[in-house]
Formats: sequence, C-alpha cells, structure tokens
Amino acid sequence: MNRLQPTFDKPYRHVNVWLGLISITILLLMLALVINNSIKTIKAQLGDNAQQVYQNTQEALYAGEHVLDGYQAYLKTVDVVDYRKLEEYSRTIRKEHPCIYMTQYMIRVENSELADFLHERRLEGYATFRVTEYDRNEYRTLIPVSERSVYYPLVFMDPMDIPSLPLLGFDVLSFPVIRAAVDESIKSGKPAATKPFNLYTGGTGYVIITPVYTAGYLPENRSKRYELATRLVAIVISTDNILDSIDINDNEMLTYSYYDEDTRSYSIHRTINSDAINENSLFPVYSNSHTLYVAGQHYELEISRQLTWTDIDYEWIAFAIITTAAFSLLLFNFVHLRIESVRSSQRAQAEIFREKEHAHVTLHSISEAVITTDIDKRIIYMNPIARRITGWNEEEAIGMPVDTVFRLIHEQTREPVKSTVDECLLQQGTVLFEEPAILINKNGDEFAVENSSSPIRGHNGELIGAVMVFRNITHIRNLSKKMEFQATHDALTGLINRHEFEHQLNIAVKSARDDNRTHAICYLDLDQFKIVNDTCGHLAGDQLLKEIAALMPLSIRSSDCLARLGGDEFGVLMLDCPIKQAEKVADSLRASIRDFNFSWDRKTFDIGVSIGLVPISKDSGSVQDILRRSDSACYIAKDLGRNRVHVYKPDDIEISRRHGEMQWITRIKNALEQDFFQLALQAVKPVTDRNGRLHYEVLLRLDEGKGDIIPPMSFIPAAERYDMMPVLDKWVINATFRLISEEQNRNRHIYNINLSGQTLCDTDILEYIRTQIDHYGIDATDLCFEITETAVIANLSLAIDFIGRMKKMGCMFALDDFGSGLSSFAYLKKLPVDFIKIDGEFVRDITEDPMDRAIVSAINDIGHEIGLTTIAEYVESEEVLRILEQLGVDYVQGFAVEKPRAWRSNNVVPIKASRKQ
Amino acid sequence: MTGLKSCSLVIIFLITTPAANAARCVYISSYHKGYDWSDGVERGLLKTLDSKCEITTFSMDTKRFKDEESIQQAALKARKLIDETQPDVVIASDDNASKYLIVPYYRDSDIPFVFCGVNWTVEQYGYPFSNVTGMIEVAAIEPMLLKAAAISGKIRHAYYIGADTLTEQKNLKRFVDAGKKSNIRITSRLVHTMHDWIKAYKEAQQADLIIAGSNAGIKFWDKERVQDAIRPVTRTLSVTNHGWMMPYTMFGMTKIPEEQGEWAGRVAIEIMNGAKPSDIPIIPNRNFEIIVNNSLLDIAQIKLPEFIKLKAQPYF
Repeated sequence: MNRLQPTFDKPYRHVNVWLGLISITILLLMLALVINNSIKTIKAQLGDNAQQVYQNTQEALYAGEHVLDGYQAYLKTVDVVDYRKLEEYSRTIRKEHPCIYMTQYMIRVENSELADFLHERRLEGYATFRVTEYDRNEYRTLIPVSERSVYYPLVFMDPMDIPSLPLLGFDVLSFPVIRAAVDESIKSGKPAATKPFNLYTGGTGYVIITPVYTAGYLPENRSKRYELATRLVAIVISTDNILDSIDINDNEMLTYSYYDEDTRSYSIHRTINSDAINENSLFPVYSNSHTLYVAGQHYELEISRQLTWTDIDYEWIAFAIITTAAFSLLLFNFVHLRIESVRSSQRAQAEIFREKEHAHVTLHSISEAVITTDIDKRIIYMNPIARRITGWNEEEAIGMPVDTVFRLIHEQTREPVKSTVDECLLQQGTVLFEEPAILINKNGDEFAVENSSSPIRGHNGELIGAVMVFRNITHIRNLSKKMEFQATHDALTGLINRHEFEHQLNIAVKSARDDNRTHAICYLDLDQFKIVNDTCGHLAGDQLLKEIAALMPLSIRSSDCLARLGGDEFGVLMLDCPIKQAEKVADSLRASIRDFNFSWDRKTFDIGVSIGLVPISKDSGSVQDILRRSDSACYIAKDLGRNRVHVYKPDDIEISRRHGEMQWITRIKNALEQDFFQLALQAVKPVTDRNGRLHYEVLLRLDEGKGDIIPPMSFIPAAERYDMMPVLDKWVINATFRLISEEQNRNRHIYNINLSGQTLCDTDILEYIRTQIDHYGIDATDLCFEITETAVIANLSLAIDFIGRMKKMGCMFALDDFGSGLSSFAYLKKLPVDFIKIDGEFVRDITEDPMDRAIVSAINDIGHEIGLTTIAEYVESEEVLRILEQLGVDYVQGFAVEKPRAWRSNNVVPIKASRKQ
Repeated sequence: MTGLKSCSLVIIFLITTPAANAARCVYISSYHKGYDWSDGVERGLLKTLDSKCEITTFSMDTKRFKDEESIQQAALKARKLIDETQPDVVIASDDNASKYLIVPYYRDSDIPFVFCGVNWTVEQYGYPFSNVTGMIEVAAIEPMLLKAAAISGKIRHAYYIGADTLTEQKNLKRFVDAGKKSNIRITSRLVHTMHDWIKAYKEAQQADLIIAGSNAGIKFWDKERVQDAIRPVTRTLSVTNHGWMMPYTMFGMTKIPEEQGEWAGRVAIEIMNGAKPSDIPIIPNRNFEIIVNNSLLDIAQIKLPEFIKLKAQPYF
C-alpha cells in the first residue's frame, strides 16, 4: 500500500531557495531600478549643471570678448589715453568678469621711434621701462627685445601687481602665440584669441586681443589694417579665474581642455576637484561635455561625476527593500499557502487513499457484509462477506438494484420486506432493521440477517448513496431461539415450563380482568409417577413424563397451553373456555392418560391423573391465588380417589391447607424444631486452574426419620409459597457457619450457600449474616452466596445493594442457573458477581446437542470476557467434563465430579441425593 | 609652583620676544612726523607691512632743516641706524633719502632699498641700482587736463599760476609738454607774491582753464585774503595737483601719499620673500585723489559731470 501512496514533498524541496532567488532577483531589479533612477537623476543633474556651467562660462567668455569692444570704443575716440580711466574701466570689468585676469594695452612702436618712446615712458615715471621679449633659452626670463621693424610693447596693464610688473614693455609680437592672435585680429578687425599658454605670473590662460585702428574704422584691406593698427587692447583670461568662477558641486570634477585645431586633438588643460573621482572605485563615472567657443578657439568643458553612495536615494532603496520584503512575504505566503493547499490536497488524497485502502481492507476483513449503493440504490460495492451471503459476485452485482441482490422476507410472515436502504435514503439517517428478517440469496439459501443502513455523503454533505451493513445471524438467532425455548420450556418434555406457564396465566388473568373474558386452568398430577420413579428409577420416570407430555396435546384444543409445572405436575391453560367446555377437555385428558399404559423393563404401569380445574374470570384474583386454587382442586381430586377431575369450589382452599401445603408448613416447622434438616456438600472443582480453591455447594435435605431423605424440591415450593424461605436460609447459614467453625485442620475451601429471592428481600438478612460470621469467627472470604438469576431479576436493586454490601465484607457471589432468563447477559453487566453457574439444563446434554454446546461456550466466553469465573453444573459424565475442559469452563460440579455428601460435624458422609438440592 | 612659574615665564618670553630670525625693516623718512605727506606715506607703509617685519623708523627731517649739513648729518644717522640694524629691507621715502642716503652709501649694496615719493624721475640719482627699486611720484597732469576737458569741454588755452621756484618751473614744463599733446596752449605766471598771484588769477579768467601750481615759495600767503580776492572774479574752471591749493581751486587731482607707502610696503614684502629689487620695475604712482571745491564751482556756475562727482571728495 505504501508503494502506491503518492509522495509529494520532493517537488517543493527547493521552493524556498527558488523563492529566495526570486526575491533576491526582484530586490536586485528594484535596486537596479532605483540605482538606474539615481543614475538618471545624476545624469540629468549633471547635464543641467554642465549646461549651466557651460552657459555661465560661455557667457562670461563672450562678455570678456565684448569687454574689448568697450576698450575699442574708448580708444577710438581719444587721442590722449587716460590711463587712469583705463584703469578704472579695467577694475570694473575685472570685478564684473572674474575670468579676466588682466587687461593690457599696447601701442605700436616703429623701430625708429623706439628711443623716443622709451624716453617718454621714463618721463612718465617708468624709470626702468624697456621693451622686452622672452629669453628663448630661459623661460620666463625677459630680455631686451631684438631688433625688429615694429614693436607692440605693453604700456598699460591692470592689475599692475608686482609679479606682473616686469611685463611692462613686453613686445607681444615677440611671443609667437600672441603674435598669431595679433595677426589674426588685425587681419579680421575682430578679437582673436591665442592658444592657451603658460602665463608669466603662473598658471595658464589665453589672451584675447583686438586692434584699435587709428582711422577709427575698420580699414578695407589687410595692409591698411596693419598700417593703422597702432594700438592693441587685450584681456588675459586666466584658466584659474575661469575655473574659479565656475561653480560646480563638490562631487563633480571639471576638466577644461583645449582643442588644438592645428593638431586636431584635445589636450588636458586643467582639471579641478579631481578628488571627486575615485579611479579605483567600482562606481561608474558620468560625464557631460560642452564646447566653449572663444574668439576662434575651442575649449572643451567636461563635468564628470561619479556615482556615490550618497547619490542613491535611500528612501527609494528602503521603499524597494520594504516593497520587495512585503512582496516576498506575500509571495512566500501565497506559495506556501498554495503548496500547503496542494500538500493538504495530496495529504487528503493520500489520506483518502489510505482510508480507502483501510476501508477496503477493513471491509474485506470484517465479518459483517457491506453493500454500498448510489443514490439510485444501485450497488457500487460489495465486500466478500456480502458476496458470500448473497451469492452474487461483485461483477454481477455492481449496478444492480440493491433489492434484487438483497432479497429480504419477514421471518414470521415471510412477506417480502425492503432493505433499510430505502428508508435510509428517505430519512437521510441511519436505519436499523429491527424486525426478524430472512435473506434469500441467489441460490435460494436463507439466512437470518440483521441489517442497518447509513447515508453516504459527499464533501458538501450532499447525499450520494448508502452503505448497508448486514450479517448472518442465523446461528445467533438459532441460539437465541434455543435459549428462549429452554427458558420457557421444560427440557425433559418440551412443554412450556412453570415460569412460562405462569407468564401465560398472568396474561390470561389480565385479559379476564380487563376484557371480561373467561378462561380455565387445569392442574394435573400423575397418580402413579412416584411408583414408576421409585421402582424403575428416574430414567423411567423421565420417560413416563415424556410420553405423557406427548399424549396430552391430543386431548386439548390447539389454542390451549400445556405446561410441565414440575415433577409429575402439569398445567393446561384454556383461553376463552367456559368451565363446562373446560371440564370436557379436562376429562378428555384424564381419559386419555387413563387409557395410556406405560411400559418399562417389561413392566406395565397404569397411569392415572388427578386434575384440578379452576375457572378464570374477572374476579379470580391473582395468579398465585389461581394456582393455589388449582393445586387445592387437584389435591381434592386425588383425595377423592384419584383419576378424576375436580372443579374448584371456594372451600377447596381450606381443604388444601389442611391436607396439602399446610401439611408441608407443619412438617417444615417440625423439622426445624426437631432438627430434621441436614446439610450436604457437593464439590465444585476447578478445571483450568488446578490450583484454584475448591468450592463446596451447601445443599439442604430433610430427614424425618422415616427412611427417606426428602429433597428440597418437595418442600421448597411450599416454603416459598408461604414465605418460609428466609427461615430456611437462615437455618442453613447458621448450620453452615457452625460446621465450618467446627472443622478441624480444615482447608480453606469456599462454601457456596444458596439464598432465595425472599431472603434477599429480608431486611434482617445482612445483619444476621454479619452477626453469624462474627459469632463463629468465619472468614468471609471463604463464603460464596449463590442467588438465582430469576431471584435477582425480581429484586434487582435490592440484590445489587445486598451483593455490594456483602462483597465489602469479603464474601463472593455466584449467579445461579445462568441462561434460564432471556436477559441474562444484560444483567451480568450490572451485577457485581464473581461466578456464573451455567444452567445445568444446557450442560447436561452438551454431548448430544450442539446448540447446548454453543450456548455453554457463548456463556463461558462472555463470562470470561467480563472477568467472571464460570461454573458448569449437572456434569454427569466424563464426556461432558471433557467438553467443558475443551470449552475452557473454570469449575465443574455434578455427579461426574463428585456426588453430594452429608455434612455433619467433623464428618462428611456421602448421601443419596438428587441432581441438585 | 616653581615649575609652573618657569613654564609661564618661558611662554611670556616666547610671546613677547621677537623671533631671532624675524624680518627687520627700516623706514627712513626724508621729512618729519606731523608733515602730512610723510605721515600719509608712513600710514600706507605701516598698514601694508603690518606685522610682516619689525619696523624701525627714522625721520631725516629735511623739510624743517634744509641746510646741507643738517641733511648730511641726518643721512649719516640713518646710515648708522641701517648698519646697526642690518635690516632685510630699507624703505626710503622722498627725494632726500635717495639723494643723501641711498646714492652715496648704498649703491648696489647688499641691503635692498625701496624708495618712494621721488618726484617725477630718478635720473638724477642714477637709478636703477641692483639693490634699489621703488615708486616715482608723478602728478596727474594729463589725466587732470582730460578731466578738465570733460568738465569744460574743449580746452585750448590754459593759464598756469605758481610760485617762481625751480620745482614749479619743472612742473610747468610738464604741463606745457602735456598741453602740446592735447593741443592746449599754456600761458604761465610764476610769481613771488600773493598779490601777483591774485592778479595773475584774475588775468587767467580769460583762459579756458586755470592750472594752480604750488604756492610753496610765496611769502606772506594769506589764505583768507586770497579766497576773498578770487571769489568775485572766479568764472573759469581751475585745477590743481596740490591738495593745499584747493581753497583757491575748483578741481583737484592730488597725489595720494598712502599709495606711495603701500606700494613701498608691497615691494618690501616681495623682497623679503626673495624677489630681487632689480626684477621689480620702477613705476610711477597711478592713483590720485579727486577733490572738488563746490563753493567756487557754484560761484563760477560750473556743473561737474556725474561720473566725476561720484568719485570726488568735497573740499571743506
């Protein structure tokens, strides 16, 4: 089965890993998104910053160029240059345009004018003024200018700080870089910028230079322009000043490059805030560049920025993490719920599979037959037992209507009845079929069955079919019938027994009283039975009784009820029978018995019968009254000469009292007074447990000194009828205790003492027993009281209470004649007894009657099941004893074990005894 | 406690005692304290040098003691001070310090000198020396003429009035030269008395511009009388390069003594920082103070352009 069971854990073994990977991937994607967004933001900011820087720088540089326009405009209009004004103007523009490091003013000096020019300059206070040029051999060293036709010495500059002072007089034409710009500007009449170069005062920069023509306007041709360009005005743009004026963020690096059109290449000119870029960092660097146009020269302005931790939007990172975590949580929950759902489903399926397998195996294993149907009562399943009982195989039965396969008839009426499936589906609840039913199977065999059906419901509780459970109770029912029969019938004759007769009489009395019906009862006593019994033995007596019992039904109506009331006494209950008709029936009975000859051992006996007839009407009183009357009437019939029918008359009671029962009462009282009662013991020996304690049942006998030992069956009914049982039981108890106390070196046997139902109701009995125990010093654990099942049932609550109290003292109890009542097993559960004595009627014929054997076996098993020790009585042969051993009965009692023995002080003498008491 | 006292003393010593290698500067003034020009120069110098060096000053006082012997004695004292001090740099203001101290005793010496306040030219001293540089004191002649033109329009004829001294004769020549550049005819009156000066002033009203030279050398000059005399007749724009002539002049562009001192101080610092004096050109002063006498301008009903007014200091 495990092989078929689905496995489901493996597919999800790595789900957490995958979920983790998915979450990490999502997180990474989110982070990438956030970082990408940050990068975009950075790029945008960088672009904006770069654009802003570019615009600001370009505007500044353009403005620087336009500054020259101002100079030009001024210089064109004056013949005498007011250096003071130039200085003021220069200071103003330098303040407004920080990128302008210096303004310069140069005048053209012909070689021939050079001496006068120098002289004039010295007159103006420039005592050391000279025209200079760079020493080609020693950088930044100014030397007197070489001989040239024309010079453009620097005559004014602002600021005129000390480091710059040596430049006064510097011939700009001597410096090729500037000279190129000078030529270009003179030619074009527009400002021209030099290539960047190292400034004299340090740092780098370039010069934007423009000519001032003497003519005041732009000469038409180039030669004229050279001729009239008598002055030059220039601004020096310091790279440092440019860069200083550029406002960049701390995390940005600015690269200022010059594009040399001659070499068509960029050269790194200057980089500021290079710390903003970490070459070793893994973070990317983003750049944005613009080209600056300055008077014909191109500069590249590039702003770079490296992504840093601070650029990352941690709020979005946190958002991404939280979102991812939340999503992952949801995903985990969803997936795990889904997995759990699938697993639950798989587990449920597996469980269902297992349950189904279990159910299948169970259904195949159990002793009950099971048939399941759909809602249309068509069979969908049958277990092997069901198949065996119904005779249908499953292939044939599947799909068949259940009533076709499961054909039921009522046990008594044999009318077809429906199975419980119909009612179950109708009521949608469990239905038990309580009527005795017979199943007729496919082969025509009949089985007593009991069945029940329960609805089968789907997942949603909807009705989808029914399951019918039934079992073959033919054996049980037969057992039950047997037990019932034996409980109500005389084992010897097969007639109903006294108990059942009284039951039927009770019904008749009630119907007479309630329905004003008229019945009659006959009490029959065989006249020669004692002779047969005494001369031929009780086997002959029993045979006589059997034959008489077989004879009598021929003389009575079919509706009449014939019973053996005990010994040689019979009873006939005639329902709805007037007294006259009853007399005819009774007389017919008498005649038939009179005509009957009983033969035994070649002896022939004429048998007669004395019959007491009692009418039953609404005023007849109780059952006991009627029985007493019938007994009296029968006695009178005997007394009148036997073989006759005597119809009861009111004075019959008195006659009976005087001559019948009252006689027994007198004899019992006399026996008590004369000490005619004797005790006998019959061993009850253990069978299975050889070490078990030996029991002795205490039996009562009457010896009136006339040679006969009178068995209890002779005086007990009279004693019971006249409530003398407690007196007798107390005598037995006292005598037993006394004898036990007188036992010398006695073994610890257990003495079983019989208690009657009347004694159980005696309020003094408990105290009496306790007193006697104390008086004789008896160990209560050596005592076991036997009470009959019928006595217990009649006084159940009293019996339970009595037994409980006695057991507290240490006494044990045995339930006698167990099996004689219909409700035996039910009472067993309530009674705290220690032993059950199986009714001897079941034991006696155990070798011949399998039903008796089955009943004994069942009682023994059930007794063991509930923890009781079983005792079988009437063990009269070795064969019976052997079977009882096989069945596992614990104790045995009977002639085959040990015959009863008279029990006297210090002496136990075997006595001739009846089977029991 | 003894240890604490010792420690405190060491700290006080370190604070109060100049470092052994602290720069030393000597300032030699040709004139005396209380003389406006000299005080202005010294103010500029001290402001610039501030705490860059330990300054020792010496005034030759040649304005009040003009005789040759006094000047020579003063130069010797200055020399003695310099020799004793062995300064990192010596600042010498005005002509007499150059003429009587630097030229005779320190030409091309190891001690660097920075002169200032030397009038117009250093040719007479033979500068440049290898150890000397400085700033020449020039008057704002051309700028002032340009400003006058800006106030009164085209100037064709200017009238120069000054004391009849050698200095004024030199100044007049410069104005004449400057006038030539601007096509301005200069008529000059160099006088000996206040009366002649006032007379010349009245005559000058016919010109386009009156240039007031220095009155130094005119004895018995009476400020109030001159002012009283000129007010009724003043119609023509008058200019001057001398601040002390502003009571009688409408517009002045005067030299700023602080500029001389500040420049000398800056150059001295450069020298102390390692620069050679010979690498620092000798230049003239470039800044002037514009002063206007609104009272006289009002009398003459002359309106100054706004750009001049904004930069001008009123004379009170």
